[in-house]
Amino acid sequence: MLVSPTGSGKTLAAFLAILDELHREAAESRLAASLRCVYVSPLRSLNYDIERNLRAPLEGIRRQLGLDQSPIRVGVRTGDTSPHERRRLRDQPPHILITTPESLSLLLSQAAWRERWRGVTHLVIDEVHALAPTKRGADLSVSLERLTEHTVLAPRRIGLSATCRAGDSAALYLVGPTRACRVLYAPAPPHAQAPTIQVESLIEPGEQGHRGLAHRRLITRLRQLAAHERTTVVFANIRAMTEKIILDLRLEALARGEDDSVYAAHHSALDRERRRQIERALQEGRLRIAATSTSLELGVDIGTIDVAVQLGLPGGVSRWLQRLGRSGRRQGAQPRGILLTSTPAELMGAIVTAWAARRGEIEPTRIIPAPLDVVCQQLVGMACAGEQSVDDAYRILLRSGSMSTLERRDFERCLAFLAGELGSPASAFEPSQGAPPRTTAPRLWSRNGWFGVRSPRVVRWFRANVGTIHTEESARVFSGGAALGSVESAYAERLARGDRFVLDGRALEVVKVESGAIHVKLTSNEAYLPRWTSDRPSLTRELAALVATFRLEAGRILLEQGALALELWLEDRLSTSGSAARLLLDLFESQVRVSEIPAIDDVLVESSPGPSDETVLHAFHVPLHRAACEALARAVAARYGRVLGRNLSISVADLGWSIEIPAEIADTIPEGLMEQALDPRGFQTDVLEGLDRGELVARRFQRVAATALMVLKNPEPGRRVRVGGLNWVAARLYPLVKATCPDHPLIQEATREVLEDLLDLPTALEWLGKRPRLRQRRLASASPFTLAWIDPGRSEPIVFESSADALKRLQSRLTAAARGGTP
Amino acid sequence: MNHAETDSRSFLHHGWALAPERAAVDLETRTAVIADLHLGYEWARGSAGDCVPRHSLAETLDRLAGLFARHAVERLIIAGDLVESTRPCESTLLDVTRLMRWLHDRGIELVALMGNHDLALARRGVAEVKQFAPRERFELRGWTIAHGHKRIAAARLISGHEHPVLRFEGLTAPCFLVADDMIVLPAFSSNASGRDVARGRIPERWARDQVRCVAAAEDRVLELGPLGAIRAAHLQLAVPVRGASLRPRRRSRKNP
Repeated sequence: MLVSPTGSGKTLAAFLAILDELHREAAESRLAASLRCVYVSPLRSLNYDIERNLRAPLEGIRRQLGLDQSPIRVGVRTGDTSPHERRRLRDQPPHILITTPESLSLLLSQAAWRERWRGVTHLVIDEVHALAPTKRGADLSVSLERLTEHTVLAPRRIGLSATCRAGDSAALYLVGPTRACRVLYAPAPPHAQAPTIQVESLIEPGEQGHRGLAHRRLITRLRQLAAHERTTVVFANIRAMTEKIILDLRLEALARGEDDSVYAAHHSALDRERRRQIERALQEGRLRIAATSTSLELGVDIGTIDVAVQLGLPGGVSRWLQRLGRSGRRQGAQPRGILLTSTPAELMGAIVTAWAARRGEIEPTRIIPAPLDVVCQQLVGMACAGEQSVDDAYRILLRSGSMSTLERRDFERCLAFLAGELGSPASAFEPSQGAPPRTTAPRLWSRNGWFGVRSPRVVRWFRANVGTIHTEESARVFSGGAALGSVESAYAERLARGDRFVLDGRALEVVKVESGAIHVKLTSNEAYLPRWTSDRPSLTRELAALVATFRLEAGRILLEQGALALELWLEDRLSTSGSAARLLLDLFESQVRVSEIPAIDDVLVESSPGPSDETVLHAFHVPLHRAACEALARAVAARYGRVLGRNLSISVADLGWSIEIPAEIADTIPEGLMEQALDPRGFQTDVLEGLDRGELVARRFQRVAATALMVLKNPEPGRRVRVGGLNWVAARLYPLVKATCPDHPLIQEATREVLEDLLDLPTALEWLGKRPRLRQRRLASASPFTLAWIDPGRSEPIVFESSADALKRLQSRLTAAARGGTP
Repeated sequence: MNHAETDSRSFLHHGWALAPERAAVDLETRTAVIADLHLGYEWARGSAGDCVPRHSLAETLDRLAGLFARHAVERLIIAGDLVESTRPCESTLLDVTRLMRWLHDRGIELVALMGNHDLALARRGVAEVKQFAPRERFELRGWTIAHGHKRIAAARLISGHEHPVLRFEGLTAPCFLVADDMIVLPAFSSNASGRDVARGRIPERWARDQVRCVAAAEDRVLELGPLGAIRAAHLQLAVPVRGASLRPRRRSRKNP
């Protein structure tokens, strides 16, 4: 494993050994026309990088050796490769194959490629740090083992990673449990400079809550950067925000008669060709500002960026260093990053992120242990290539870094599901004869220790649905016949002729709506931002703990030494600017006035009226990241619900959560409920109950079912089922499968994913085990810390009433309203 | 008064008992009306490539058995969309046959009305039951019963097709919409996603003052009063709708 920052030439370094070998063989006229090296990268737009990192050096070597033609053939196989080129690659394999995890999985599913892998001696895996902690990485790790299975000699594996801590599990990911791995840290180049990180607040003291103001300042600040820097990349976390920034920058430029083409948005909902154009413009230095959600974070060469700007928080130190590393790649330049914040909580988080980033405190890599949905997809992939022995399949899986903990029983249940052997609902009216199949369209047959695909249709379905990347169903947007990008189907369904929305940083008006396609024209009228589903970014475990510690320390200084001391501490110790320090000072002072600063070993619970008059809010402040809070909130909600017997709703955030309780029963909350709710005994059971009564697992099941090929993201053309809507998998299929087969591998996987990946149960339990002291406060309104960190209102219902009871309550409410009360 | 409770579980509307099994039962003629069964839903998904458990026939029979246990029914009218697929496969036809045989065994007469999903089924017929020929409409006690996907001239109409539901605090309750001249049935199938009557755009016929909402909740129905009042009460949606919504969700066109 070679660890070195992006752009330091590590891709070429990885290729040196095989290039040397191939040239030697060519010189001795024993170079065969067979595949020798497979390079896998998570990026789909590889051609630029490969051009620079491989084709250019090859050309140089050719000239030095005085050859007419380089003896080494390089081929690229991605989702964009034309059918003609695909055939050519198969019939005349190159020496070096450049591909993606998805395309590799596809090639492995083809019997025609089986013989092609025999001579492979080198596997190069790029961006290991980005792959290792994901399901996509888990999928690749199995593909690598499958490929290795076909080779004569075990190929050498070379992993490339921008970051990697000593003894990190990323190394295990690369080689699996049966092989050893050396980790090499490339020395920094002689003139490399440490990055500078600046934290700025867009609001001044006394301006909290002015989102509009913060946004106007943001645009002004970005215009300033555009004027002084050659190129700035803005990481805006979510797609809608990138659109908004670019639209506003453009409108501002147009209003002032300036060139608006120097601003561009780049995110995954834009058309591929459009994204390539933007990347080229960046490389050629034609853009001043490119705003991106996450799509410019990895790999693709985007030229010389002067500054990387993060809007709000990047979530983790590794991620921030990765983004920051996109800047300062010009010779002798210094990477520069600015964290721009719009709220005091963001400011605090940014200060701590910058502090930890300067000290290089990157987070450890966490590999997802044996995800069963990936197992299912890989089993189908194996079967597509031909009949497969069950024992061999299990052995291959166990050798992969991600699957080394896979239990035989779980593996066999995956196989049983794919073979259509897991349950269907029991009915009192089971037909006695000619019982219909238990499931529709089983994927595999499985008997006598072997398995294979049921029909050629399964192969087609596998090829159309390969991969673990989950995207929402979408409708493409066309302007004058050219594809601009896409919006999610759920959003597109609401669009009608004359509606206006923003895409590609432009205001668009709908001209025509077809199924799956929206035709638009440019408009100068005001337009709305489309809605895209995305996971809310949250802090890593380490950063959340740091923020809590700094928060407590700041509180201690404020109480013991006074406001001036806190201001000085923020400015000197944490390199905070004066006005930003005063903003935080305001927040801490107002929190201390109405409540207190939450301690590390305490849990502070503030009760106050909820966001609407109909509820009472209990806000819990704890020193944990969102995943741990998510576990705690579920268990506490389950315990509240059991006692109160009413539907509740929870909002979970980094450093705390809140529960809303119907106001009319607030007086009946028994004394001691909060203490009981935080009892570590029976905690896990109650987390599960809280999950059952919410919708988190069901929503995750949607993705798991897609990855496992239970439901197809891309169904058979023309056969998409319309009735049932987009939510059918979560709302119907999940409870159906759960009721009929509680130990279904995909139910197990969705639960595991939620408990281990989304919820951090161990951290939550460990903290509860320390028996934090309960501190209760009754407040007239939600505290400044509650508003700053927990931000109640984006809540999920936790249902304790039967639907009949809830409807009866609705009925009496409506009756009261009809009699003249308030509805 | 036209509205009265029959037993504690159903709601009586002009002689029709609205039952929690999502059926309207005429007590006088012992006729039950249901709509939108979407049988073979899983097979339709299967032909698109999904691998999901068989369930819709079993759910249908369980629900019907519950209905027949409480109401003496001699005739079952299926007001359209008996099947899901516009290209029904053998398994779907088998499910339909099984349903017919099950009804036949209980001495219940089946009257099928044409729904927009049923065109191919009607053309093709069901192998064993040759007489399967859905009609466009059925008249009973001055009421016209039809699927409702086409405009139909009727003084008093019972129809399906729209799948009305009431969404409230994270729960989704199928509901009937009733007036002196109409009964809109909820979808019998749990697979059909619903059209939220509390929010969003509704047909003109539903926007009249006299239209009332009767929701099915587990084993009972609850009369919730005028639909207008429910819409005015701005029920809290459990999951807040984020992002700019341009306009109420338009009815997405179902299979032609």
